[in-house]
Order: sequence, then C-alpha cells, then structure tokens
Amino acid sequence: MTRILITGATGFIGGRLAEVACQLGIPTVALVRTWARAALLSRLPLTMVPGDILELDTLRRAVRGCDVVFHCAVDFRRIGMAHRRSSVLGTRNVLQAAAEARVKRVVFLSSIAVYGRTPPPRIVTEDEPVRHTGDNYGDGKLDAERLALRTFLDRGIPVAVLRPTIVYGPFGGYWTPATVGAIKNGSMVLVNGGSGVCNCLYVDNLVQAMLLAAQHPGAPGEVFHVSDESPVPWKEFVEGHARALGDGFLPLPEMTVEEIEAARARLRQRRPSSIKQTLTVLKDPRIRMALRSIPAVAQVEAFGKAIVRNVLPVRAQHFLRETVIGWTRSVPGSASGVTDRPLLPRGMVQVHASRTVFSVEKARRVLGYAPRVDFHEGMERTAAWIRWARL
Amino acid sequence: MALADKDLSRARMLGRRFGISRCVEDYHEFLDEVDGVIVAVPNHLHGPIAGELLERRIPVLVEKPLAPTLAEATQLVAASRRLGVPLQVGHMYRYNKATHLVSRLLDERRLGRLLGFSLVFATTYGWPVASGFAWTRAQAGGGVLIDLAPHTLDLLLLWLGDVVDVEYRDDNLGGVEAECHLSLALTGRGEVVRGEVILSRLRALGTTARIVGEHFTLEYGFTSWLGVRLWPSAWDGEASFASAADTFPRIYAEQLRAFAQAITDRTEPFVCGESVLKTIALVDRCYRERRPLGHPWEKPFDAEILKAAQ
Repeated sequence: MTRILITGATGFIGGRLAEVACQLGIPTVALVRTWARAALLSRLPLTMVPGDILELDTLRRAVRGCDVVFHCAVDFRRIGMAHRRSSVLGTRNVLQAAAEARVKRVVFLSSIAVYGRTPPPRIVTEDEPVRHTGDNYGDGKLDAERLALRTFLDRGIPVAVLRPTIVYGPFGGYWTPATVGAIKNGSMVLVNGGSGVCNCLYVDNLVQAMLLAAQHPGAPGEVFHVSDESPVPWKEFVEGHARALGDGFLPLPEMTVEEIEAARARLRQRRPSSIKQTLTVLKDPRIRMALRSIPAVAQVEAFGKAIVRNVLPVRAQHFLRETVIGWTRSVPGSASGVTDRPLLPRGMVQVHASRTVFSVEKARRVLGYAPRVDFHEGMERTAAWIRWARL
Repeated sequence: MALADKDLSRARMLGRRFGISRCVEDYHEFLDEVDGVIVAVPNHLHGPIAGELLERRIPVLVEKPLAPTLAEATQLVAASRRLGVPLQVGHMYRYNKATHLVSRLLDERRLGRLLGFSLVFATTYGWPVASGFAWTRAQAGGGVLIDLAPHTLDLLLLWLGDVVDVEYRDDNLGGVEAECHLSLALTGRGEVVRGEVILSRLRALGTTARIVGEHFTLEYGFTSWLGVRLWPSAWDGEASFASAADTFPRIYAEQLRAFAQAITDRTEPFVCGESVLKTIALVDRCYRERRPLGHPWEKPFDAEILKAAQ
C-alpha cells in the first residue's frame, strides 16, 4: 500500500483505521464531509480532503495517487429509503472514482445487518442466503455489496467485502454509546437472562482484517465475516459496560423477550403524545448539541428562539418554558407494569436475543485473519475510554 | 459597513441577513472607505493582513489568537506602537462582568490565601466550521491549546499573575492536538499558586475555572453560565453565593463598542495587542516544551499480524 483513501474517516471505524495506518507509516488521505467531526482525526499526520461520497468529483480529487480505497462511509443524515439509496449511490461513486484512478484494491465495509435483525439461530457462514428484510440500513448495505461484487465481475475492479459484527471500542460508533446510554437511562435489561450470543468485534481486530483484505491476493470478489475469536453472552458485554460506569448499575434486571413485548403493548395503550416524547428527548443537552451541528436545524432553532424572544412578552416566555418542562416531567419512564423503566428498543431486543454465531473461518483461512485482542482485553480498553470520556 | 470573503456568496448571504450591501471578494477594494477592520480570517493570515492594515494606519480588531506565533504577535504589537494605530484582540471573555468580579475578589483577597486552581474547558467539538483550517498546524498554528488559550489561560494569567513554571502534554500524533493538559505554577498574589488545566475537543467534562482559597472557593462558568459562584472552602453543600450572569450578546457588543471607541479616540484599546502577549508566550512555550499525552486504552497496533497478507 503506497497511499490509501478512507471514506468515513471521521467516524469510529474509519477513524481508528486512519490512526493505525498512520502508525504503520502508510500515507493516508481522509475524505471529510463534516469538518466539525474531524477533531479526533486532526491529531494524525494525514491529508484531509473535503468531500462527500455522494459527489463523484470530490472523490475523484481525493483518490488521486491512492492505490487502496477503504470505503467505510455511511450517510446517517438520510433515513428510510433515502438512506438505502444513498448507500448504493455512494458506493457506486466510490467504485467509479477507484476505477478511474486504477486503484489496486477497494475494501468495502458492509455489515451483518445484511442478514436482517433475526438471522437463523445457528452458525452462519458467508454462504448463507441474504435477502432484503425491510431494514433500510441492512438493505442498503446489501444493495451496495451486490453492486460492488457485480462491479468486480463486470469491470474487474478488485473489491473485497467485509461484514463486521458488533463493533465496539474507544470512541465506539454505535454499540458502546448505545449500551451505555441504555444502562444509564434505565432501559437496559438482560434479555433472556443475557444468554443471547454477542458476536462482538473489537475495533482493532476489524482494522486488522481490513488491512489484510487490502493486501491479500485472495480477497477480491469475496465476502468475509469479521468477528472476534469467539462470541460472548450478551450478559458479559452489557455488564462489562455497566462496570465501566462505576457502582450502582449492577445487577441489571432480567426480562424475557415475551415480557418486554407485553410491556411494550401495555405502554402503547397509554403512550404520551409524540410531541411530549420529542420534547423529552430534546431535554438532553448532548442531543441538542448533536442536532445543532446540522446547519438547517441550527437555523430553525435560532429562528424559533428569535420569535419567542421578540414576539412573546417575558411572562409568556416564562409560562411557555414552565409548561414545556412540566410536560416532559410528566412523561412516564414506563407504563410496563413490570418495571418502572423505559423499554429497550425492539431492534436491540432482537439482537440481544440472537442465537446466531457468525463464522470467521473463511477470513481466517483465506486472509490469515487472527484477532489479537480478546474480549477481556477489548472490554478493558473500552472501559478505560468510558471512564476517561465520563460517558 | 462592508464585508469581504474569498467566497463572495457567503459574504452576500451574511450581507442579506444584516442589511449590508457592500460585499467584496478582496478586502483591498474597500480599504479606502473604512475607519477600522475586523480581521476574522484563518489564524495564519492574522499577521500578514493585520500587519498590512496597520501599515496603512487602519485600526484593527483581530480575532483570537492575535497570531499563531509569539514572533508574529510581537511584530504586530510593535507596528501598532510605532504607527500609533489601535490594535485590539478578540479576547471576548475579558469583557465578561464575571471576569472583573473574579479580579476584584482576588484583589481584595476575599478568598484568603490561595491554595490552588483548576480549569477545564472540555467539550465534544461541534462548532459548525465552514473550512478545515482549524485542523492543520500550518493554518491554525496548533490545535485546542491555541484555540482555547485566549479564552482560558488568558484569564488565569490575568487573575493569578505570571508563569513560574509549566509542564505541558498533548495528544498530537503528527497533526494538531485535540486534548492537552497543563500543570501550571503562577506567581499568584505574592505566593506561588499551582493548578491543572485540561482543554479538550474530545470529551464533555465541562467549562469552568475554579480557584480555591483558604476561606472561599470560587467557580467561573465559561459557556452555559457566565457568572461566578462562591462558597466557603470548608463547605460541602450548595453554592452559597452566585453572581448575576453576563450574556454573550452583551459581551460581543461591549467588544465592538470598545473598538469603536479606540477608533474614535485613537487610544489604546482595553484588550490591546500588548495585553495578550503573555498568553501567546505561554502557548509558544508549551509547544516548544511539549511532551506526549497518552491515553489509558492506547496500545500500539501489532504490525506483525499483517504479514499473513504478504
């Protein structure tokens, strides 16, 4: 590898890949869509190129002189079908720019989400049939995978596809913050006693697989699962995060899937209005800060505030504020009747109840993948980060 | 009033918002028409542009930092003095009423003998920047230190005197630092006072300064609350006294009023170039004497494991 391009470099996996690449002395170009997210990346000796996978010209500029492209970007600004379409369009642009630049390898980061939320309860290899399941994230990844593999066959662009599992680690993108968030807001339970299979993947192990896939002659045109050496029960994964948060979060309550769904049904019957729920979510300053990073949202907020301040008398402003606070206070933590806590989202319950084991035998056999960081070590490093970040 | 931006569409957008019709791509186009200029360009251009304006005898308000290096900042201050042209710097917290209250409390020795201080300005970065200049050493001059020192270290030096000693660490791996730690010893009020500073773009620890005295402890809020809290040092309950909070709009307005005054009177502004040199000198020293800041989870990546692919 003489020079690499990383899309999604301001994200969790792309960011760690960039860090490792710099540590290994590989000249690195990072495609940056949102400058506000580049603080962690800015510590590294790399080249940041402004761009967006949805804009082909910016990719053409960024890929110039690179021989390997790691495509990690996902556009979470779009939801629903728009997200799925952007996933495909972004991948098409990356492949097009890579082909024009005659790169030697493209590594596309897909996901086990291509199997849907309820894959079969057994050992699953890459030969398992995949189909659209209605989950736009997973379906988008599947469409993009198919496009990448077809491009390999039709145009000879050497693409390798990786399907990582539950990726966690310092600065974790989804699973670590989501787990910590659920523990702290009281919605985390041990689904079925925490006996479900967690196909966890420490981020450095994934980075190892990505770098191997970028170099190994047997990688192009192939799909590989990437996971840790062996899965752990979800109980270990969740309790590892809870311990990192300090005293007072253990033991976690246990609920079966059926109990959770029954509670959800009861909750639905006396659910507060969506306006109340939205306001409750917006009470969290971290969510407000994240939303403000979207220029359109910041403008709407500024406009709203200006109207309230300039149009309403001070007493009316005070009344409005107190009313909103009163509303959000009255949103029940849960009406489950089983516990007085909010409920774990259904998607997370399904994943926690999973009995699927994703085989990494192919990655081991073809790429020589040999994950070095076991769960104990990975969790220890993640816990150190959780404490440092005071999540 | 006139606006200049290399990207004329941005200048015009701002112009429409505030009713300013004169928008140009090159600031040279309006230099014959203006009494003063606010320089809010990337850091590495502060020195060249402000220097040029001073030479043309045009008063300047330069956004912080005055310049990325002490040498450049000193040149600007010298030019301002030689030509008698006002040079003001955008250290806006100096206009905060709470800043003055802290100075007064310390001047009157209300806290008792000073025992120590701490300052944390740590937020997960989310400033909606339009360009990437802040992420390159060549354009920004550094990372979080040079970005936040004019807000934070500047006040510590204002309140607690000169630097006796400093130990500086940051997490820069060849770009710019996103987090830095300082162990500082300052001259205090006749007795050396020591404290710790954490500046970060990576984690949300808060934005406060705390000074602990023998009798009272005070806390100064930088962002969500621009006031001062004060409580007896031996007290473990709620804050017993809280000052009225200032507001950012008032602070900015005050800064602009001060600039207008300096232009009119041709006097040295309240936050003149010379008054910020101590802060820039401290930043300069930190970068020169930098030591690496490791994180507890960091382990080097084992490159041996990639041999399988070769």
